[in-house]
Amino acid sequence: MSFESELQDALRRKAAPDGFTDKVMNAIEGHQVRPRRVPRIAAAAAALVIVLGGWTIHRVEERREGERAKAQLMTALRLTSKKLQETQQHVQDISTR
Amino acid sequence: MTAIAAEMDTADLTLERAQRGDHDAFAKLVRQHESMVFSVGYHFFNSADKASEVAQDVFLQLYRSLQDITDPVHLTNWLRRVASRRCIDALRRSRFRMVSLDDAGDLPVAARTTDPFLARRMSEHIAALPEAQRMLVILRYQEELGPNDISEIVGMPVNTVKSQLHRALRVLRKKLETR
Repeated sequence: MSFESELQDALRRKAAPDGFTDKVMNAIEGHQVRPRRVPRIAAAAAALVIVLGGWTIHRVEERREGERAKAQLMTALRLTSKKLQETQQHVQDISTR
Repeated sequence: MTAIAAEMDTADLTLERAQRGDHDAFAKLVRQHESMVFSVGYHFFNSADKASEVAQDVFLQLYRSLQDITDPVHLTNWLRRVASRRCIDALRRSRFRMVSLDDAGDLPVAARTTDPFLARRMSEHIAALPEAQRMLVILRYQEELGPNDISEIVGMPVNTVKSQLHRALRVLRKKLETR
């Protein structure tokens, strides 16, 4: 008999003790064990969090866009005002000459 | 339809029924796999009592996690993985005292061994291996799995599985040669 066969022989599956399945089922039916399930209220809360989270992100994004546009407008106005002052100064210089 | 395909269909149906809360179907799953799960523990601990305790915990965990099981093949591999982890964890937690085979109690054996004395000696040598190597030998020769499957079950690189198995077999061979 080869060494590997001897190993397989020694490690043959054994039958579980009598009444093993009943013991497991008694533990389950005795309400000691419950299947893992996500409660409905937890699922509803998770859905609500996702919807509210999405809406909040959308609002924040909108506000950022607005602030960005405002900043661009202010920069444009500042540049225009500077240009206007320079032109005015130039006209005054010509008229006083 | 072949016999194997028909058997797979039946196994699928049993699993589905158990997942829908059918206790008879779950009991059928336990009966189908109890020998495999119990034997992993029995060969690991050398104790029928400890093996029975660990096997019961494995099936209770299965009941809780039944919705995660996708098919009968997944179920078998899940049970092998959880059984092997539970054995190693239980041993580490309690540093369970090994009992000799004389104390292990008589068990109904699924199939008669050709040389009970030799098998007994071999079991003693296996039980003396370090825990990780012991589990690899059990998965290789009880469950007849290859290094790739064992690697997935125990979460160890394939090359480590091969080298550890090689080392364990060398030790066992040496011990048997001195008989």
